[in-house]
Amino acid sequence: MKRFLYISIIAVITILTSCQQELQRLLDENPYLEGSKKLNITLVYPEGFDDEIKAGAEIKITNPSNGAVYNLSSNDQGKATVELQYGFYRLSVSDKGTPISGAIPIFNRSIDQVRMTDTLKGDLNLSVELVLSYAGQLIIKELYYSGCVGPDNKTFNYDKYFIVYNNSDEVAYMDSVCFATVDPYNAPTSQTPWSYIAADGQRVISDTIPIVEAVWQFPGSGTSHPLQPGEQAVVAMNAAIDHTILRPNSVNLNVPGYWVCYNQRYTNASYHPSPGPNLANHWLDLLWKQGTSTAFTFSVSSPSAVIFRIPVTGAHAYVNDPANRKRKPGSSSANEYVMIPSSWILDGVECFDRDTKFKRLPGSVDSGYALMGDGDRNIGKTLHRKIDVLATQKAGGRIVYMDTNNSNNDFEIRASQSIKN
Amino acid sequence: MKRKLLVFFLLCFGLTTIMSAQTTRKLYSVKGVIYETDSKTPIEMALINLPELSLWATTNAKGEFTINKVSAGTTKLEITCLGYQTQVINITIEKDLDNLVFKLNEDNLKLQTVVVTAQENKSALSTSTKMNRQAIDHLQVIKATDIMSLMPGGKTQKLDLLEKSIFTIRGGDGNGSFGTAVEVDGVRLSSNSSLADASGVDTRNLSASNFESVEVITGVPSVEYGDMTSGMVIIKTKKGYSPYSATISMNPTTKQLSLSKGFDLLKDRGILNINAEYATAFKNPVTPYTTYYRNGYGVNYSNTFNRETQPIQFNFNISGTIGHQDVKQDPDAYKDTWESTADNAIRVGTSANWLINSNWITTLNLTLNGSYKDENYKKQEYHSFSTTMPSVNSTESGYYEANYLPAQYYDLRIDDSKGLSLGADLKANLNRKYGKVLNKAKAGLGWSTSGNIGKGVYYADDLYPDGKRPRPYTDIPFLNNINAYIEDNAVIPIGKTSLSLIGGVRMDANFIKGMVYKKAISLSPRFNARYTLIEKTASEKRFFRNLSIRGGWGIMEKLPSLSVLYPLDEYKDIRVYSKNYGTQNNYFYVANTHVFREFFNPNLEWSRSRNIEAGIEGNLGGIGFSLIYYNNKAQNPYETYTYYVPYAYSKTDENYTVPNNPQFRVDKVTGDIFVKDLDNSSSVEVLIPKSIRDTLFVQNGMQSNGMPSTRQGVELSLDFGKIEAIRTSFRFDASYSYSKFVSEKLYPSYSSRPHTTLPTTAGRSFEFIGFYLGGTSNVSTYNGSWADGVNANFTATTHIPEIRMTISLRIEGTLYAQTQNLTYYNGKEWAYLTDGNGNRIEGSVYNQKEYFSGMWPVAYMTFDQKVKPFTAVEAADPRFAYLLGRSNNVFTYVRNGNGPYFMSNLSITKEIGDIASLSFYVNNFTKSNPFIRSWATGVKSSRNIDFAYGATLRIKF
Repeated sequence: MKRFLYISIIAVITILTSCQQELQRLLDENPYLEGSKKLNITLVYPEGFDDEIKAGAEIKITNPSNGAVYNLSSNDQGKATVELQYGFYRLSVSDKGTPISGAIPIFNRSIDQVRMTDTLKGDLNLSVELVLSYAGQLIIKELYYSGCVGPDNKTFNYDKYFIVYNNSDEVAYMDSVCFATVDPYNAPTSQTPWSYIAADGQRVISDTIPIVEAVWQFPGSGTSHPLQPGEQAVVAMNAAIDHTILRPNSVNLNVPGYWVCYNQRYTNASYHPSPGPNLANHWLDLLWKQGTSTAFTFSVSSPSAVIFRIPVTGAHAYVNDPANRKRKPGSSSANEYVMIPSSWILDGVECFDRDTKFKRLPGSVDSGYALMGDGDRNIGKTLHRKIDVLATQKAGGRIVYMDTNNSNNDFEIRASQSIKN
Repeated sequence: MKRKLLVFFLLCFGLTTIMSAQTTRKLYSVKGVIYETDSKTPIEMALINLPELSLWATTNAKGEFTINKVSAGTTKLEITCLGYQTQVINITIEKDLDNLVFKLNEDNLKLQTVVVTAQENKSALSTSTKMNRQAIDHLQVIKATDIMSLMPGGKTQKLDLLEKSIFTIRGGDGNGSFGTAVEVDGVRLSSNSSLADASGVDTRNLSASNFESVEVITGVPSVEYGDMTSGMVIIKTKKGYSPYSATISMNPTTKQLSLSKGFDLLKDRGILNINAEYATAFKNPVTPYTTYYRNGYGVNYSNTFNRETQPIQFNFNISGTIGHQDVKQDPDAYKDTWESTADNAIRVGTSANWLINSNWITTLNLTLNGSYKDENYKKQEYHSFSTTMPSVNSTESGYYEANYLPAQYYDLRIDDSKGLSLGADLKANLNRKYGKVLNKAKAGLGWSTSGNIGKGVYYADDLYPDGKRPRPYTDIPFLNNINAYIEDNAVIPIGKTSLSLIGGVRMDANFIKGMVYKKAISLSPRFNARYTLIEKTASEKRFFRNLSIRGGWGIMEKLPSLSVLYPLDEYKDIRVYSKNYGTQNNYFYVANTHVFREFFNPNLEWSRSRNIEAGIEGNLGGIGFSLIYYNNKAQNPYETYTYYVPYAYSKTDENYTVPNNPQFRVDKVTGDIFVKDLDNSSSVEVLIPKSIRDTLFVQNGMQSNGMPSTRQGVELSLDFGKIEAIRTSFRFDASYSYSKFVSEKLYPSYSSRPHTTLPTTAGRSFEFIGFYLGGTSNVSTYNGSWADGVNANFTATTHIPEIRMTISLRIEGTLYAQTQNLTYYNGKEWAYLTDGNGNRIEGSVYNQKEYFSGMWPVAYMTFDQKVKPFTAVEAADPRFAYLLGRSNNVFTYVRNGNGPYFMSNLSITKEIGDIASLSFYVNNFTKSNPFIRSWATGVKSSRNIDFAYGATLRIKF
């Protein structure tokens, strides 16, 4: 009994003395002590972005206990230094990279506890690894596909167009932005064959999006085609001519600054006549064409359109690699579809003509659908984004459109084409 | 070989004529009178026929007939007359017979025996099935092809006058229905001068209510019938005295009315038959806007001259139709758009059959005929385009400005086709008896010419669509055909049996002015033999009543149609420049046109079919049976073989700015486009720079022969005879057919895809041609298939003469049908197994449902035109990815087929007094439409025709 007591006392003392340093340190680490240390922050950019302009990254350091906020900016080497009082701080970094192909790369990181205490030996060197994501600058502002009626009472669908709009506050570049439609052309009446049953028994739409028939691409590879904030570009999908001469209810697409999906491989001279002279050099490149069809097909009842970037080098090599193309599951047709990961999509719109149809786009691109019923077809109506009133006020008059990736909320039916005057 | 056969038969013919001078024969005359059974009135213009001796006579106004110079012996005597039951008896001639009296029964339902099914012609040497008037009436035929359901294993088709009615016998030959021939009253209906794809002739415009009999000859027919490969359909119309008869036939989509009468012109002036028919059919009773009309008429005069000595049977016939099919004035269609097809035809024929009955010739027959068919098709359509459209119509090679079509306009397309054909045939028969052997020799000579005198396809007001050029049919010369044949038939009695041998050869030659193929001559030898073991008459009740074995071998050649012998110019147009200038959507289009004509193929062989038939027929214990095996090998069917040549052309830069008021000029040869500014008087012509020079493959065609295919089968029919207690007779027929086809011929294939390595936007064309095994492509991996199946029918016919009614119940069934795709090249399987990602898997492609099948092209070629084998190196190269074949389902090589399904038809005919008769039919009356599962895919579909019904009323007065 006595021996046990002696041994236990000795053990406790041993433990205490060996942890002494740690204990001491802990006891010494007094965040409430007066004193300060330097915090050296080094930003580490993700792979491929090493030559980003590192100056000007916003670094915000807050001390939750006393509400102190420090706003820093990184220097050319991506470093920033601040002298901080002892305490525990929350750090968040946010940097915007150079806009490329209609999107702005965003580098974020937040660290919940940075310990500034007097037990630090010298300065605290913190290496912050930034995580990459993209903010869409370009959106599809309007989609006009349901056509109108000519004076001969025949429906007219050759005047389809869509409008690309810079919804951000920085200049965007349309170079190499791609435009295409998603399979199937019309909203399907049963689950799309590109979906599958996930492990939890729910049906999930695949995250790689099947592109049907063709991929059009804006020419240029850098900064040749800028779009200022609040500026738009009209792209005609079929005939870019003045339609109002023969069909007064239609639009004039032969306007300088408009673009056209025109390529000599599409030989149908009614869908793709030579574009008007005002559209010189504003032809989209035909990056990929699936088969032998003579006209670019775009649904007149319920299309799904996407604009996207192919970030890997060589977009041509990407679409030509057979590994990036698939045949439709469960079909005996030889038609192939280019598969685009949904993370590359800048903006996508899903249009239905009836509530009972099924979706083609996953929730990350468009979690709802825009509805234009059969009764609204062929009378010049279009699908147009709603104006985000709050954001427009904040932007000081530059119109900002709603972009919540949910077309139920974002789109409305307008009675006539927005470019009609 | 062919020459030797020809010489042999000429020798035979010569010998018979020499021998005739030396042999003396005992000749007698046969005279008699023919009356009607009930009323005892004499029957005029009845035909008394001694078929084995080819002697005949017709009765005069008093019912008397005379046949002179009949050789001694026992022979068959046949008496036929319109409206009366045919009588066949055996007659022994040992002296002059002067007072024969025959009584004929009226052909109605009061007779004890009525035949409403097909009858096998037991005395013919090739397989011949005949349907007489009672069967045609009971079946209520509206379209001529409806009778095919009565053939062994035949199936009832949907009764629809809006579909074409083309005969196909035993699956046709390699060209499908093209090899089946149709003849009406000795006049051949021909589709040889058709410029469309080779197919059989459409018989929709024949008035079915005027048919007297339809005979279908399959197997190895006599050399008298030529220019066909799979079989012959012989239709005879009504000739003879008859009272007024009117028929009204209806079913939910069709109405048919007809009226006919045979006038006796009295005092031996002959008989005049007149008939008229009106039929109309529409597709859908709810919207009757697609309709078919047929107004048929016919006049036939027949008489026998010189009755006492050497009678001449003379016949003159005019018949025709005025009909058309309209899709018109549908209120749901766009205003002022319609289409209509006229189907007018007129046939004129005259024939004289002279019974000379001398030592060197028995009968001489001369036929002259002509037919004219007007198929005028018109279509008015409205076009609405976005803007002015280019229309390339140039007929010379080079770079030309296109013509322009307005953005919104009506156009009227007219297909003016007027087929005309004329023909003449001369036939001679010599029937001689040498001791016990009866020898019938036949020789014939014929000529026909056919062509089209219509204006061809053209558009009113010169509004030709893009790519269409006028094709006047009058530019194409007439197709002439000369044929000659010789045939000898010897009937040799051997003890109580008899052996009948037939051998013949036929020569056909086709000529056309300016044709590419110089020697269009064919020779077809045919042989048939029949050994009759037992032949007893019906009255002798023994177990073995009839038994005969027969067999035949023959070659049938089908000469090519006009589209093969006289190919037309083809055009390939490529647009090289299009420009929108000014503010009012003005356009300038330039296209490159390349004109080419089908390549002459010196190795083209005529389509021939080698047919073999063997059968056993007879009657055992009252059950008549017929079992026939046939084996048809179709060699060298016609096909258009496509081959590709590289072609270079240059495009001009469309992005180059042109002035608002330009004047263009195109150089025809180089394709240089110059533009000048008309608003600026001092400007000069500027060359618009070229953009690319592209090479692609253009296709040209060549008439060639496809790979052979075999069709075999067995046809069985059992006639159980009538069970008197229940007044019902039963018949069972079945057919088994097997066909197999494998093609190891290579066919090139080209796709108008973009170039594999250059960017798509540059506009360059695909640079590879893949050579694939016949039938395969980049979506289909099998190059052959086999199929077989069994159809069986059971018919019960109840005939009650006391109440003059016949009811027949027919159960049609398909016992099974199966098919399987084959892959075969150089003795091995050519397709291989792949998984969903294209990785190759070991194992046989057959009979597995787990993996897909893939296939390589056998060779490939690029613009240097060197054909290289396709190896694993190419298969791994992504540039060739589009050439690889891959099926997108896993059951390509699984045996596919379906199990049994049945349906039943009911037909009732009732005579009401002597004046009227009413027929009623219901097809698939149990509405049996089971969903039959397909073995390979598991997909279920219903295969029986829909429930259908109709009625016909016939009135005689």
